[in-house]
Amino acid sequence: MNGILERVNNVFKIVFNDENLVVTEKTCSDDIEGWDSLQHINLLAMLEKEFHIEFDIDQIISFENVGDMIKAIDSMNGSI
Amino acid sequence: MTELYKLLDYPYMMKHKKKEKERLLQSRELQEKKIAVLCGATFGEIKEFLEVFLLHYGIKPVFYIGEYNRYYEESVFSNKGLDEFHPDIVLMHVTNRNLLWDHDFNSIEDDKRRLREIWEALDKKYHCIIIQNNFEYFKYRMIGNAARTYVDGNLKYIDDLNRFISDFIKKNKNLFVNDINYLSSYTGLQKWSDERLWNMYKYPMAMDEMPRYALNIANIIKSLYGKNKKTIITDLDNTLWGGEVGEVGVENIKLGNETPQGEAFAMLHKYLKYLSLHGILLNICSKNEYDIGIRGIHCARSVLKEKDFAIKKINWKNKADNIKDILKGLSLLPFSAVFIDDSLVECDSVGSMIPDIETIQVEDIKALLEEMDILSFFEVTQITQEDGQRRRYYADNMERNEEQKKYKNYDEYLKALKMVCHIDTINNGNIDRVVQLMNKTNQFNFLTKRYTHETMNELINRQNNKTFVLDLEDKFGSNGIVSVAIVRLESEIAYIDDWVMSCRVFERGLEYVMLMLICETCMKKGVNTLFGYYYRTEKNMKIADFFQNIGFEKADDDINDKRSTKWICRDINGLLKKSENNNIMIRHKEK
Repeated sequence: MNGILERVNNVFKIVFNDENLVVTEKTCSDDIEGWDSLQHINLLAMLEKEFHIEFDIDQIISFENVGDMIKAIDSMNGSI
Repeated sequence: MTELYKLLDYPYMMKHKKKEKERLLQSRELQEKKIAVLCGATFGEIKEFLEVFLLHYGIKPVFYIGEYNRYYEESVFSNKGLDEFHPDIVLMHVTNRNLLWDHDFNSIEDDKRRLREIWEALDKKYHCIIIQNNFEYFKYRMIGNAARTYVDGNLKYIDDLNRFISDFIKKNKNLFVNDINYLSSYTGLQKWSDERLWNMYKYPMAMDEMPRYALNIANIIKSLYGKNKKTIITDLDNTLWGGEVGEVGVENIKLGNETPQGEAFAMLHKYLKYLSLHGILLNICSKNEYDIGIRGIHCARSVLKEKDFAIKKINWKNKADNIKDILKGLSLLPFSAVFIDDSLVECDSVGSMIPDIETIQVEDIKALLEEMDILSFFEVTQITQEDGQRRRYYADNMERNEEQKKYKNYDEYLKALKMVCHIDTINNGNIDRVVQLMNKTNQFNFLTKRYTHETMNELINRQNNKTFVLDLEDKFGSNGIVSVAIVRLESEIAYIDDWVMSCRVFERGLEYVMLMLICETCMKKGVNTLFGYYYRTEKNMKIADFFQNIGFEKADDDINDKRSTKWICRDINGLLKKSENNNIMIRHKEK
């Protein structure tokens, strides 16, 4: 799971344009400035590209923090 | 691969857009344009992408983003916010999901009526440019192939509506189509839309498609504001055919339908031929013996013929120097040219010696065509009768250059040209060409104002505006309409509100004919003070001292922009004397 977190973190850096951004499994939208619905879409799209997966709507709606995203990615074997 | 092309990749765009934006905002002068986006779908991230592309073209957008799904109401009914914004351009960001077909399968007449109401209302209120999305096909067609032909088939609905838009555009010069029907076909409908994105966020297309959608819009806009390329300079061996003609012999170069590789090169020939027929000048720059290099073009399998090229530099000189000569011969700036070569080294060296030129390294023909086509260097937004003849004008120019060598001095040469200038005002017969000339001219253009058909019409209908349209003919043929000026008369004062001249006729003394006409008009109307303006851009430095050199003085100006200067002349008679010209005969058009 650690490997996934690191790659997820890299995606966050790109989307929020911040080289020093560090996320943990507990990070949620309140913790990052600019994490609005628009950036949320970019984030999901970039994660899908990074892990070659596609989230379904139920998953997307249920995401409350980074940990949820990692779980979803892991469940789809998206770490390859 | 050019930077612009790389930015079409969504992840690349995400990674680089911020830095690109910062870089472009600093690097050059930008023309500000107000763009209102009226939305049938979310615009969101597309705005960021469009901004990056427009900045690439030297256009700085200011946006007004309408409310989701209020595009009809915001255009047709009174709208204070949009009135105050007063857009230069309105983009109708709509999708097939906005069509009434969703509710009523037989509602196409209502959809047409709504579109027409929108266009008419916007045109009446703002005289602006309108960019209208046409419609992508629906992903599901329910009744199979009959959807294309059956009376309420959904693909027929889209076909009919798109045809309606295209027909309307033919008759309306300020309306332009953003062809998402093509964009979505190119990608494929399955990839084009991402239903999750529509269902959750009302995005009309997948994220991957957004950069291309944005570029397609930016291309229309840059073309309208005179930022198209005008000429292509191409290498020969391994660019226009496979193999080296000097090595393998003309019979063995890969070109034409006898070999699979040859087919690809023939395709490139046809592509370039089409461009050349639409006014894009083709030139050759190749390291070779002239007689050897040209053999490839002379061979029967070559679609492009020798006469399709304006200037051919086939020699052993370095390419950057050759290209500079070509541009000089065409009187074009590097900014207007695209250089194509298979050698990375040549592309690099040309790019570093001539920074403003666009270079494309040919790795394979398919990739080249794809890149050229997507970047749409030659996006057409106005076609005038003159476009097809442009190559002839330049060919005549080459003959003129040859002719010049025969004379002892330049003045003698000018006399021998037997130039005749026809003078006209701006009117319905020439307005298309006038608008095009004013929008495309960069070098001899005092203010770099850009016009639409509408705004020009308004100007010429004002009583106190005098307009001058010059057409120059000489013993080699006609140059067509090449210079326009608009002068505003206010009792004893006159203002040269605009003045442009095509680079085709530089160094012919035509600017003095215009000056003379202006002076004569001034004297006839009892004007004693004449003002001129100059707004400095990267491209019109050539005429920075023009007013000073002919005896204008710098006037105080109340304008705070350093690039802008105002000039005054109180001695109209003296100015008239300076504009005397013995080389060009003048004929007024019969009314």
